[in-house]
Amino acid sequence: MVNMVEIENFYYRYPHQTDYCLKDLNLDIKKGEFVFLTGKSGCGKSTLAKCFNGTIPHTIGGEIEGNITVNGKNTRDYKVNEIAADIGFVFQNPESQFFTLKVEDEVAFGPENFALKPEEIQKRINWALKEVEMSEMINENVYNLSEGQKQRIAIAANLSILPEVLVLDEPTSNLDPKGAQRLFNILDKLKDKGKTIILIDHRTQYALKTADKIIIMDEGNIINEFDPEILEDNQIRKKFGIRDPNYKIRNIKNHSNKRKFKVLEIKDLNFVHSNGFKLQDISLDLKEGEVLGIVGNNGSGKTTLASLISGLLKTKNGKIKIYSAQERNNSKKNYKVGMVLQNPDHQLFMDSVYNELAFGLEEMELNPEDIKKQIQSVLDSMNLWQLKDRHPHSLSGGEKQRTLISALMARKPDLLILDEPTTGMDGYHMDKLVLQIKKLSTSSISIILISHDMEFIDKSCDRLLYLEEGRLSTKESFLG
Amino acid sequence: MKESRFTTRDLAFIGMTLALMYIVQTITILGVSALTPFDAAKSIVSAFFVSIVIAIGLAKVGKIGTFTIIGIINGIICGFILPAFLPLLPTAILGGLAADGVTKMLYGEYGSRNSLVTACGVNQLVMTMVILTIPLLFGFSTMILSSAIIIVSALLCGGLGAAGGLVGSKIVDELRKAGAITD
Amino acid sequence: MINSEIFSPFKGEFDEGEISFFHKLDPRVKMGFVVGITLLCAFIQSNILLGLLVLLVIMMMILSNTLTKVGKFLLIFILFCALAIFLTFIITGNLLYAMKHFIPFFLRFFVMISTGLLFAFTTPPQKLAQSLEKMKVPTSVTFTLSIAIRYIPTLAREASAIFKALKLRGVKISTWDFIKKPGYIYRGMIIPLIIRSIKLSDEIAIAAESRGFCISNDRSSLNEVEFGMKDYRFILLIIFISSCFLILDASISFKF
Repeated sequence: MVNMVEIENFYYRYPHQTDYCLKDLNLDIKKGEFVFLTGKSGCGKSTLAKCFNGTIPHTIGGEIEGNITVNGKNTRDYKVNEIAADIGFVFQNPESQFFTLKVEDEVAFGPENFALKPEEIQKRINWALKEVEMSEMINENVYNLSEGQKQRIAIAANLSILPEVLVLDEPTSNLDPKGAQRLFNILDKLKDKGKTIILIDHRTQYALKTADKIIIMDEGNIINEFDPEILEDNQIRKKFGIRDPNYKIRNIKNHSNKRKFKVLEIKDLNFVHSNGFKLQDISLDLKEGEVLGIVGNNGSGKTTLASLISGLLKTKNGKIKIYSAQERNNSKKNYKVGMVLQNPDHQLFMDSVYNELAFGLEEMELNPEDIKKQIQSVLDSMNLWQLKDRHPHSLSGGEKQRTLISALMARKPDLLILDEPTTGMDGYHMDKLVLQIKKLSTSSISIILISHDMEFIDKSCDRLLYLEEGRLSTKESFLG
Repeated sequence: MKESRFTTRDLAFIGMTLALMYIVQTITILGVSALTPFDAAKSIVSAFFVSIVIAIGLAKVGKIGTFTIIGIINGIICGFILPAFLPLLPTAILGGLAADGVTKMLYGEYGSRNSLVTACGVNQLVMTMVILTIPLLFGFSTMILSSAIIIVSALLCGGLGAAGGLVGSKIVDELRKAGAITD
Repeated sequence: MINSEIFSPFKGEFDEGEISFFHKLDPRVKMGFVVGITLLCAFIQSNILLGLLVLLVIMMMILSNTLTKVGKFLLIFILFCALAIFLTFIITGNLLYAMKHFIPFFLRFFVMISTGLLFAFTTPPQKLAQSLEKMKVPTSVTFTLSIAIRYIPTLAREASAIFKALKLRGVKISTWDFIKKPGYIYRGMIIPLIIRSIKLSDEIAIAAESRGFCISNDRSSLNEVEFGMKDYRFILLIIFISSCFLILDASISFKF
């Protein structure tokens, strides 16, 4: 078989940095192979992906050594748009790869760049949309698509330039299990048609079934090429922070909590969102120190429910009552609920980690000494003390999330809600987050986790609540 | 203006800067004044906030000609989309050209604090002057809108623009610290 | 806080029922119309003719089903005019003087604002960018314009996520708070928004290039729009009407 991608003694260094980010990489990928590339966040896999199509060094800059050849073209000698016809690229965030508002125009963007004739473009659009099973959506506005549909359009938009190789960089991060399954089915089909596929992802479940080989990276090195069965090796997984492909929802016992204090009580909650979405007949109780998981597919109402609990949304239909520790001790009223939204970039405002924690605290009528003490203890317990002077936006994804949780912890909430905290998270960082959640819950903070990441939910929750189309549902119905 | 000097990355960021300008402007002047294109209060209030955003765009791209592109596109958006007031098209283009021209003569490129402050100041000054002379072309009474008023408003807006540029350059410093802008 | 209606023109959607002949015209023709009418109303001196022009524009708004949308904006303008005349009347005590100074100007501005809004509410911005591309405007301008209008709704959504995060950190958000502590805008809004913009724009650039985009290359277009009969007919009609106005105006001012 012909080599589709060849990497030879490859090194790369980002602009203005002294250390190499990729070190001595060697790899051959054959035509028609399905390669699964994985490793911890920051191991260099996304950087390597950008080298495949020449984005590195042509667009991003920096210094390379060695060679990468794609379909016989050395990335040094060809500009990104000249390699584009050979290699397609799908990114994690569909929002940043769409240039138009209509599905048809979006798929046409690539062929238009090659100045093809309208008839040819139309032919390719029809073909590409059929490949991703989206033909009926040709006139749809991209705003009306689900996340999964968006990613399929992103694939079609690449297929329309007829590339031999398709690189997908964490395409399923924002997808629920259903959407991810559908995406992988399509990749499976493309593989059968002879496309070379390089998938970079944390979800290992599907790779175990479909990949021809697994490549594990760590700290800028390729550890080795393996057979898919390597993913079942517990020790390898632990060592390189890889997700478990075979996790099952263990019977979370829903045990009656020994703790007596009720923190949250919801009774007969009904809510109609401005977009017409309805949340119906929700009732639940939460005890002090309990970790409750709310699971369900995208659009099932998880985030709406959380927004109601945190007070971002309000309703008069039904009861939401939060019993805070302060009330039990008859002391001053305080902020009771903390909620971490999905994207940390939206939630960090200050110029250092320390100030981030202090942000808004003075409004809580605490004296400066108390504020200082409080921040210090939170920083200590969350392992952030050594980062306290760093700019929050210069931190890694996991550190940002910790900063954010700490900022809310500094406000001493009785209830902490985390919305999809494991989006795009590897096994190593997920385990760390699970430990932190356990630690918080032992210090009698109640936690609600909203997620469709079953491995994470299974490892961290005491109790589960299933949501389906705005109603409470059962485990059987959710999994069925 | 040699356009080949701009990379796709530059243009994508200029595009984002413009989108951001529109958002910031809308948020800043919520309500009535957002919808009355000729309202002097609007241009005065937005002069400051818009300049903050522009200064960041200029600092990241760094190349002369950036302001002209911003001017042309801002002009097209203001002239044909919203508030759809055609005279804003030449106004924005002239403002951008003037700022680019002055910066090229004085500093050669965008980057330093002074270059950002100057460019934003000049831009707002020229734009205000042009936009306020336009009503006169359409028969507005010179008795009410005297040249003294035009000059005072232009200076005021120029000053606010420069102040916006200063705040913008402070943010740029912080973005460098955060690693979001590298150069 | 962020009213989605303000950004509605950028979503590029019209209801089936709304679409009129004016929606279907080539954007280039409509741009010519806006420019032409603006110049026309600058030249015409006669108040009567300006009034006729106002009626003409209102008629076009009715025909193109945009009167209610544009009307909201125009109402504010009319209130402003009334206020200006009233204030001048109070100050000078001479109503006729106030009217004489303001009426021609307001009529012209009314025409200009209405035609602009007429264009805006019948043309999706994306179509505008496409037509500019056909008019051989440099790619650096059309690509950047496309990005700007495509990402205005996206950034609006990002901004509202940031507002939510601010609220969750106990920051109260009202117009009064903004006036009281402008630092909150600086810190809470601008920094995260800009950081998001930088990240998004880098991703956009990479995505564009990896799909074959290059500033210096020629592009083709799926929807090659040609001028149709309706476009030519509209151009002829507008030229005819404008000429009538100019001739009438010349003869009126000649008489005086």
